[in-house]
Amino acid sequence: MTKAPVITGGHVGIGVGLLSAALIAFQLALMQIFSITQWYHFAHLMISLALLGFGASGTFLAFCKERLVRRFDLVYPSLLVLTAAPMALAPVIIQTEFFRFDTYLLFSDHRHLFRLVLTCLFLLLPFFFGALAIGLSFVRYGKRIGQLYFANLLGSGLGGLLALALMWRIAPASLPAILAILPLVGSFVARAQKRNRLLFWLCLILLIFLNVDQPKLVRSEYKSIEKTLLLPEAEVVSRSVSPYGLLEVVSTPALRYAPGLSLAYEEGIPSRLGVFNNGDALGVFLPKPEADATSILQFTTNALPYVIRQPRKALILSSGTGELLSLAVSHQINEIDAVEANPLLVELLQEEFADSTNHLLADPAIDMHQLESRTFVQGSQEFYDLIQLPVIGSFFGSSGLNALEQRYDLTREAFAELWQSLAPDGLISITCWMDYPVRNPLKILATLSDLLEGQVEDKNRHLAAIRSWSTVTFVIKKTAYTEIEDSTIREFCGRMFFDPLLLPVQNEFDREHFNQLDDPWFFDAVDQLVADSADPLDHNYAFRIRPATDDQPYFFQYLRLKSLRQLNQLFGDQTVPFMELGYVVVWLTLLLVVLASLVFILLPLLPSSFRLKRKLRTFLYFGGIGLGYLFVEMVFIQQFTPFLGHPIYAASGVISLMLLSSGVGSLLSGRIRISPKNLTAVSIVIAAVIIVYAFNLTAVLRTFNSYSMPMKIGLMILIVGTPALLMGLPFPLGLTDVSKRQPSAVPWAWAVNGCASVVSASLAIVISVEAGFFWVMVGAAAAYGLAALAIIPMSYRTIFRL
Amino acid sequence: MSKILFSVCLAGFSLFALNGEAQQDPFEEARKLMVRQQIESRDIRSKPVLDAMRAVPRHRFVPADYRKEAYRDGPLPIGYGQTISQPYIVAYMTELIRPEPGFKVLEIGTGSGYQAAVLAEIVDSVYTIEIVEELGLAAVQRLQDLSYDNVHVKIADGYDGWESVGPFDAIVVTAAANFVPPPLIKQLKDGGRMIIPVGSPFQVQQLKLVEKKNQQVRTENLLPVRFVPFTRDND
Repeated sequence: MTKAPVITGGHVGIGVGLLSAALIAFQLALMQIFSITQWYHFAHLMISLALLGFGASGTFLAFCKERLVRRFDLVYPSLLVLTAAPMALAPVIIQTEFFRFDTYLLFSDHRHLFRLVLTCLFLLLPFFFGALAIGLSFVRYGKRIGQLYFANLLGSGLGGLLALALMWRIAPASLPAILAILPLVGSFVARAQKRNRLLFWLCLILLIFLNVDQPKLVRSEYKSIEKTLLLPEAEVVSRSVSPYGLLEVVSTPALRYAPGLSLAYEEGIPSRLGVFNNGDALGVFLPKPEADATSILQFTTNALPYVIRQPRKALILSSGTGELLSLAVSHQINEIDAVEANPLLVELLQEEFADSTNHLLADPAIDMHQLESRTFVQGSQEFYDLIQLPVIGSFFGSSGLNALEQRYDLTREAFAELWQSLAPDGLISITCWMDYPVRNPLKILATLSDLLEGQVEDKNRHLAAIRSWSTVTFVIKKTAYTEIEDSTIREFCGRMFFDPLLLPVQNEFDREHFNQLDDPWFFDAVDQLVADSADPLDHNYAFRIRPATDDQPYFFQYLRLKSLRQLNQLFGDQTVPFMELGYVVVWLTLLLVVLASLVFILLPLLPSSFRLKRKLRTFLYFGGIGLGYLFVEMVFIQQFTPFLGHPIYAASGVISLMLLSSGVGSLLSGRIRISPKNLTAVSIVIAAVIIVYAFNLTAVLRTFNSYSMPMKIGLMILIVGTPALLMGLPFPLGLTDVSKRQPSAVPWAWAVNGCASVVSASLAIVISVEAGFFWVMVGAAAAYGLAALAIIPMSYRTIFRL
Repeated sequence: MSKILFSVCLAGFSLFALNGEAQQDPFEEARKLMVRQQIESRDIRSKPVLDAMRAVPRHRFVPADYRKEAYRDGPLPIGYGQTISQPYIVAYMTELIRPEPGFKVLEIGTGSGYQAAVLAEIVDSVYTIEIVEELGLAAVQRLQDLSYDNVHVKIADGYDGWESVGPFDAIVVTAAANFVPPPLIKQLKDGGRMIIPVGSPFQVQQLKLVEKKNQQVRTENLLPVRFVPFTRDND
């Protein structure tokens, strides 16, 4: 006689939902924690590795399924507690001396590499136990996979929103202990037995303790803020948390800021308040200046457009801490539209630090817009005399850690839109730091030259550029420059010890009178970019300097893998880590997750006692749908970021909407008769929808771009929700069928799907960098097509008779 | 009496030990090799600079943990997010300011004190400013221990320079900056030279030469440098 189960499917569903919510929110909290203590892309690497816990759980389940299912009532609640404990302890453990690593020392001190591995292994635990609990519930309640998967997706969707909501109020280090309450409640609901009640209470005490004594984050000593805090009398005077990151303001009399200041400037440079996001420098708060010629900002190359002509109406994009706004105000411009996406930064300028900035944002000329630059420009009907973009390549830099930052405001299409927003005599101005090897100025010039190519007859007459000892400013003009304007630029250069780089009228001039570069190649490259398209130079240069596009919006991604050897010869074996870490790290992540996934997928196939039939088909089906799902999600986030104008809301909105819609899809999957034809049809329909999207989504979103926000959200629900609902079907349908035909294969299918999901995140980035997002979408369609192909040969008999 | 005897013995032993170290500097060969392989081979030809690089015990300027790596061809961490520069860069920067006996040199960013010690081997006086108190105090102690009496250390903000003892024949800035401080340009003699790295603290930076002549200031790009730690051999 078998004993009746204590835990019902309903209890398990609640547990799975809570657990899923906690896991996804924990993942987002970890992203924030590592972005603060280290850098974003290492967060990506570590969390990708930790997420392999999903794959590992499937492998473990394949080996121990019988024993775990037999003792389900004991094991399942215990797994929830075992998820909660390392989750809550994570911020404490990973910051102990034994675990704590420093990104910059990974390449110089192997102990830090060891600590990185240890940290990954520790973070694997909550994901492993959590995924094991979910996978085990699928095995135990094979007939209710649709509902359980619904709970899984619903929980994940709500978990993302929960994390987003909590991040407005709670510091990231405190989040895991709060989130760990969710699986613990799941364990309680599952009516923990006497044997695991002790574990439950111990964990509860731990959570109470951790929530009272909140851990503090230890940052890398190489982060900008840590170096600033070493300065005399340095202190953090303001700290605010949000999903945009940890925003801190530091005060010290030794912090001065005058980027690219002319060597002709002889006055003092006052100290400023420094602003940092996740420990990386954003800039300083500058006071609203009086309209005097000695203002520091007049002594930078940024002042060039104001020397050329006095604008009446200006647009300052990504206004940040207000440097360029301050410059515009000092020139007494009547109308200034300022655009900044980070609401906290705007709030600080408007409220807490309004005095420090002489109430800059309260200036009647300034109209502040809290949006992404691109979204504002697309929706605006105004015409401007001057459009000024933010300074490219911050002085503070990040060793290429921002290489994979998607910059829709710096793409070919974005500049074309700016051109359309210019008044007849309007100017577009953009400044960048001179980097080494030279990349920033060449890419900007390539973009501007590309823009002018299609718009004017003689682009030389519309393009001016000057160079200081550290910066280059480009100014393009809608109408041709006049001789007087040309002379004004030269006069400004002479007065400021700057050198002209491109003059619109005069051909003969000294480009190195004040600032000798000793690099004739740079000047040749500049001339070549003006005379020709970027392609020949891009082809011969070690770095990508072709304009970024909406399809490949990685303006700061310069490195090519094939150039590594050449660069290695130039700079030695230590060069690459200090050039574009972000790009290298994504490739490294992909390599590691693929290798680890192969291990997790192949391991269960090794024992002779564990025999699976139709392995290839199972692999293709569950691998295909795992890969395709995340590819689509990545593209949706990419497309909706400029559409909605708020990257955080776009990402969280897309993720949650997809998960919720797929959850509904999985719930509906119970109504679909499982047959080879139906399974094939579902996958083919999804692939077809994705192909339609690949060719039309950008155009559709552009058409509706000027609509109101509620309309846009409605459209997003329709556009994202429809395919996501369909995409919620294949997994529960496939897994239900597997559980019927060959229950022992369920864990392996779970492992394959988990591993494919982890691989797809890194793979999507690599494809989008190398080929563009269009091909990510095509890849998604191909993945679903592959899943369909895996079933077609079986359509006349049974599916997965494994 | 026994106490005095003990103290004398101890002092004698210490002197003997110091003397012994001075006579049998275990790193002397490594230092010579460093100069030959890393500096001379890269076209540093100034004899005073090469002599100074051979004379200054670099291993005394790095944390004990990194002593074995002191003469390797790269920068090393010295704590507080700072590094001691690659030997070649120190030699290169020193050669560029064309140091001579009688020169008065200002250094901004003392760090470990190594660059100041190298300069002190050649010029009359070195004035060096460190903003991180802990680093500055450690450098003072280190330079005193090594008897560099012509090095003057101040713990302050380097932005203001050292007006009371200026103007200077040369200025060496070791910390990357987003601007060249106007007071430093003022404190540079006409015809004087200033070396300053430009760029992000942890990217490849560009070393710049700033020259002041007839009320005009000109810059020249020199070479890319890195102030990040390099790989360790053994851990």
